[in-house]
Amino acid sequence: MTLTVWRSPLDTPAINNLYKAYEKASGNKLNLVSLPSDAYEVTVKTKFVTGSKPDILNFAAGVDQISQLNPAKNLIDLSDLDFIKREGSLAKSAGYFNGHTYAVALGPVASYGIFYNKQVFANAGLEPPKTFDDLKTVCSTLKSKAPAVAPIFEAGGEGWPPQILAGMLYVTDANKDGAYVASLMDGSAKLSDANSPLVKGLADYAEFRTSHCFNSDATTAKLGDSAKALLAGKAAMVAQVDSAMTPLLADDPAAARKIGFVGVSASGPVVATTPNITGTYYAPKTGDAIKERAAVDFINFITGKGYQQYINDANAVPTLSGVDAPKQVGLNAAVATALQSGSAPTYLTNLPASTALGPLALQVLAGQISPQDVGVKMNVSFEAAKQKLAK
Amino acid sequence: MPSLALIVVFFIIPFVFNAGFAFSDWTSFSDAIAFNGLDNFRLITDLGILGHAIEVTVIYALVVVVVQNVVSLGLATLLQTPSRRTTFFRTLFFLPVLISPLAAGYIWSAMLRPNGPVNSAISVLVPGHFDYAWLGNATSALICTAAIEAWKWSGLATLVYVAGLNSVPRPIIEAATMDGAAGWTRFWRIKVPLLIPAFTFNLVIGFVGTLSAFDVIMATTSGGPGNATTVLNVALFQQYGLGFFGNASALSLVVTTLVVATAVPLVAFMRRREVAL
Repeated sequence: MTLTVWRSPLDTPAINNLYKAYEKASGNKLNLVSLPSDAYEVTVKTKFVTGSKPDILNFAAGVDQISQLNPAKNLIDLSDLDFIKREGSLAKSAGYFNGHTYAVALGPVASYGIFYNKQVFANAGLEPPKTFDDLKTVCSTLKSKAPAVAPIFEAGGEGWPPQILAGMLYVTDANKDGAYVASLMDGSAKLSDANSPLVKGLADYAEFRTSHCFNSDATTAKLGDSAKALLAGKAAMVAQVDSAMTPLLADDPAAARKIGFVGVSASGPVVATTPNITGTYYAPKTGDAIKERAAVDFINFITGKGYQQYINDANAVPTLSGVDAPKQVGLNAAVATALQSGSAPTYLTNLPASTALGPLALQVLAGQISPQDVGVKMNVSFEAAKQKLAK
Repeated sequence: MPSLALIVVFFIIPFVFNAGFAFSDWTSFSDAIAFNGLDNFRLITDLGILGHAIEVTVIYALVVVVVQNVVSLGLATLLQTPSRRTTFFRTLFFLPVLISPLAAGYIWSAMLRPNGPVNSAISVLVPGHFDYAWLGNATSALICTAAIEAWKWSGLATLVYVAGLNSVPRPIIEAATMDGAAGWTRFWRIKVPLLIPAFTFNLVIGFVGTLSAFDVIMATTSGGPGNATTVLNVALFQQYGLGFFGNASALSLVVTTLVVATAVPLVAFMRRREVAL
């Protein structure tokens, strides 16, 4: 039997090994269809809308994305599978919608925080930041002690990076145990509240801009530029996700010695986490009962017999209990240490219409919109999505 | 008959469906699609998307049309007479037309980077290190993306103007010359009125085409910085990505309406000014 897999071209060698291991163990063939990584989610949603579905789907785990696939109709409920208990609280945030878990997130989880250049910090007598107030202190100190260094490198030319510092990190500690999203969903809090964590974080971000804490080409620079500037000591900090940044930094063999990683939020060092697309799998309802059963068997294999080898190959911190965690080295070790200091799933993973933040963060970076107005517009999109989800 | 079928299948039916969806609450969050009146237009107006996108689109189209036609008419005047040299330059200026708009956008976004070749060239001419972010400032980004679009299509407009200039009867030019008309007078009083059909083609194709601009902008700025170059089609793409298909259809209907509302009066206006020989 041949099962069709829609996958992101960003798949790692560890994932490819996992596919091969499944084929060997099951005797089934996997027809791997790579969809373009640029607008991957949009491509999948478009295909679903037109009725085209694979047997196995590699897709984002956030509620904003999966709710758009109409999961009750299109996805097999995996809530009763064995891996659910071993996945712990992640089973209620990754691929989770209306009380059902539709996905497994094999890991590694994506970790969002601040990458910093250790030498730049040491030269200026600075400690790594833990809060947004610390970021302001680092910025003002560097501007006086190292004016040639950009305190924070922002890559607005890429589209998505600015939302990390503008609208994600500050809010992380407010969403421990999902408290912030819960208050938004039950209507006791609004994204547009003047003292909402979103608006306060955006206000700090706007202050970074007006205080010239960003690189001069912040609105056009690309992600690759931020890694180069950080390694070269031309920038002190970059707010990024390890899955995107670590491979870029690893181009420099001395990266682990030069670069550190910390979690930063409003009040303390909390790393924001979200399941990666890589390693997150769904089993769509295709109408072919035999293939649907085979797809569930695939999920059982990758979370069971195949999982330890995958974790070893990926050198990842496991998301499922019952396997040995490989020893982390290099930048991965720095990320693992930061995660131990404190982590929480980002509120954006469970917030309907959260993707509205990306374009609005770019407007804050360009000085075109106030933080309060971003809150108002986010709220309009959020309420419209919430209303439709309730139908 | 086959052509009529093609028009119905590929234009009329999609247009009718799109017009219908513009007034529906179709999102990717639910399978249910219901008529919701003007709610989509209200929502994209409340979000500040509609008015801003129309403004950016119209400014973008105007800049493209002005730059493209001024440059093309100048080039056509210089390259009117057939010779090996003019054939070479006509081919050279036509090359951008053959390049994919995405490729053109990526090439120019690299050229215009703060440390890119354009600023390096300027640094040679002006003292100090010139590192202006052309695509990082709202005004210069809009002008630059429009100029890239104009550059992309100027070769085609040039050929149309060359054909127009060559269709002006030589006896009329010779008679005017004998009557003492100078070069500028001959150009303004004789060539320009006879070039109206070429103007009509270039203005309408240029303006209407750029109202639907998308690819060059996505490859250079993706609508940024912020939303400075977010034309209607880029806003449409963003709404589609958010799963608000009704909003995206509403923006698409605005593009169609804008194209029809512009093209019909523009063609009628230009046709009235055409001169019969």
